Order: sequence, then structure tokens, then C-alpha cells
Amino acid sequence: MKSLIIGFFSFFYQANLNHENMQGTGFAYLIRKAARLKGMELEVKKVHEQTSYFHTHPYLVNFIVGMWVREFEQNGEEDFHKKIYSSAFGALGDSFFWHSLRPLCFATAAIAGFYNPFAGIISYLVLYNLFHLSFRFTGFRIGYSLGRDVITFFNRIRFNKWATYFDIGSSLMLGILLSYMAKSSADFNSVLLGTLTVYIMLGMALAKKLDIVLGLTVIIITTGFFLYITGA
Amino acid sequence: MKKIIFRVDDRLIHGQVIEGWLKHFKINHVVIANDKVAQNPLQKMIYASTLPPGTELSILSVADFISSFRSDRYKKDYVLVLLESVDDLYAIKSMINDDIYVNIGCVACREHKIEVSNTVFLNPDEIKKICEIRQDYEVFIHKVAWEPSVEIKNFNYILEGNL
Repeated sequence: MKSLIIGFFSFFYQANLNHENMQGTGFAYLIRKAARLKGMELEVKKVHEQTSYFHTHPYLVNFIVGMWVREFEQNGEEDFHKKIYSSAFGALGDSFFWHSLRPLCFATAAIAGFYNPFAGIISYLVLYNLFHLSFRFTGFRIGYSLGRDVITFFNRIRFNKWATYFDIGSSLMLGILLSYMAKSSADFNSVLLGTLTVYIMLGMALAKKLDIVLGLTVIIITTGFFLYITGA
Repeated sequence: MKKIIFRVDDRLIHGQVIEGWLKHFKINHVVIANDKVAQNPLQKMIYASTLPPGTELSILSVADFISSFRSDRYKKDYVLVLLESVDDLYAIKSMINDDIYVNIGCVACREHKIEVSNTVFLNPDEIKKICEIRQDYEVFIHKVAWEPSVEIKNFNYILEGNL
């Protein structure tokens, strides 16, 4: 229950995001709430100290809050470990949630949206929040139970590999989406299939070799030129 | 892009480093040159757990890094060397050459620090040290690879209160 309460309060964690102390104010707010839930009243000075520079992924912050409270209870080095985990969870969270989960959710929603736009929106929200809320609402409990060894939880579930697996999933989903679009939008024949395959491979090669945005730009310009020439 | 990057970032490995540098430049070897981290097994394990599969991580003291760098250990790799502070960069300044891209990514706001950019806050001593390095080599402020870098110029003006 305490983990759920902290999970709820963590929705306000980024409310005072700024360049000077980043999310330090939000962290101090969460620490105070969490300590109270554990029957402790932190000194004003201690809470004020927590407003110093702090920046981590918002979905994983509760793991650090749990770890901090546990270390504080046991007279550990809560502030030292807070600093280390803030950057580590920033790395893990950004890679997975921002750069891998979102594209996968988009590809899933796009496929579902072909059948029903409403299903597309719902599938995005369900898939994304399944992961987001799971981490947000269990973070405090796990962080508190493992303390400064909270990284072992992430090692156990091999979290640093999830981004790679999800990227593969996204590529697969996009492949399905493109195949479906090609099949449903034109007279499907072997020439069209061959042209599309070469086209996609060329796009991927450009994106890999140069840059995704540049690759996309080149493909769009080429397509526009091709359509202009053929009068399509 | 140059094969070796020296980056001052007081958060060491974090989201911008993974997505903005490692994946963008396909860096296969990350080196943390820091005396405190090199002596802390838990901290080493935490940082090792954050890297994507296939990326090698070396955590060395500044002195060990200097000797390993001189031994051409990183010759075949695309290397990102992370330094926690400008002081650490200054300590390895003899390693810098024209083949190394030196940038400052994130130095957090602390008391008595001057805001140089929205992610870089330096004290006068750090500014002097960077000025000394940039007499011979270019030093940039560069948050993530896809954003424009800012070359540090006329840095002493900050100390003179002109900026």
C-alpha cells in the first residue's frame, strides 16, 4: 500500500523541473512523504539538503526513494548512493522507456489503428502504461527491501537488455505494418514486392550509415522526385 | 567524428551518455577515469549494469588510465572517456591531442559556480583550467551528439564579469 501511495505522489515529482537543481525539489518532496509513511519525521535541514541537484528517470525514482529511506533508517550512506543511482537509473530508464518502449507502442498502435483507430489509441495506452505504472508503483517497495543493492533487481530481470529486445520487436512490428500497407494499398505483385524491399533496405542502409533523419529526408525527396517524374 | 572522446560529466553514465553518445557514435568501449569509482565495487557494478550489451566498460583511476592510454590499449576501439570533473580533465591534459574530441557535457550547479550553459556550471578555478587547456586544443560544450556544440571562446571574459 505504501508503495502505491508513493507511486501516486511521484506523479508530481517533475513539477519543479529546472536547470539549477533539476528534479531536486521533487525528490525532497517524495523523501518527506516516504519517511512519514515509514513513521519518521525528517528534520527540515535534511529535507532541504535533498533539494540539491538531482536528476533521474521519473518512472524509476521510487526505487531511489525506497533505497534512500532504507539507508537512512540504517544510518547508511543514503546521499552517496542516491547520486550514483540517479545517473544509473537515468541511463536505464531513458534507454528503455523513451527510446525503445515508445517506438514499440507506436508500431503496435499503428497496426491496431488500421483495424480501428480507437483500438490503436487504447493499445498504445495499455502497452505503455503496463510498463510505466508497474515500475512506478512497485519501485518504492523494491527499493526499500533491497536498499543500496537495489541494482540487483535490475540485474535479475536483465533490464539493460530490454531496450535491445524491444528494438527488435519494434523492427518486426514495423515490418508487419509496412507489408500490410503495401498489400492493402495497391495491386500486390512480385515487382511491387521487389521494389519495396529494395526501397526499404536502401532506407535502412542510409539511416544506419548516415543518420535516421537524413536517411528519411533523402527517401522523402527521392520519392517526391519519382512521383513527379512518373506523374503519379 | 573522432574515435576518442574525452567528456567531463559529473553524472558519468546517464541517459544522455547512452543515447546521445554511445548509440549515436556506436562507441564500443567506455572508460570511467575516476579515483573514487575505481575503488568502489558497488559503484562499478551499478555502472556496468547500465550499459547496453556489447559495450566494454573499464573503470580506472586517473593514474591507471594515463598508463593504459599510453600503452595504445584503445587503438582499435571507439572510446568514450568519462571524467567526473574539470580537475580530472586537467590531470590528463597531457593525453589530449588533435585526434581527441574534448567536450563538457554536464557539470551540476553548486554554490559559487558560474552558469556557463544550462547544463554546465563552473567555478573560477575550473574556468582557468579550461582556459589553459584550450590554449592548445579546442574544448566544446556539447550535451548530446545531435545538438550543436558550442566552442568555448573568450572564456576569461566570464571571470572578468563581461558575460
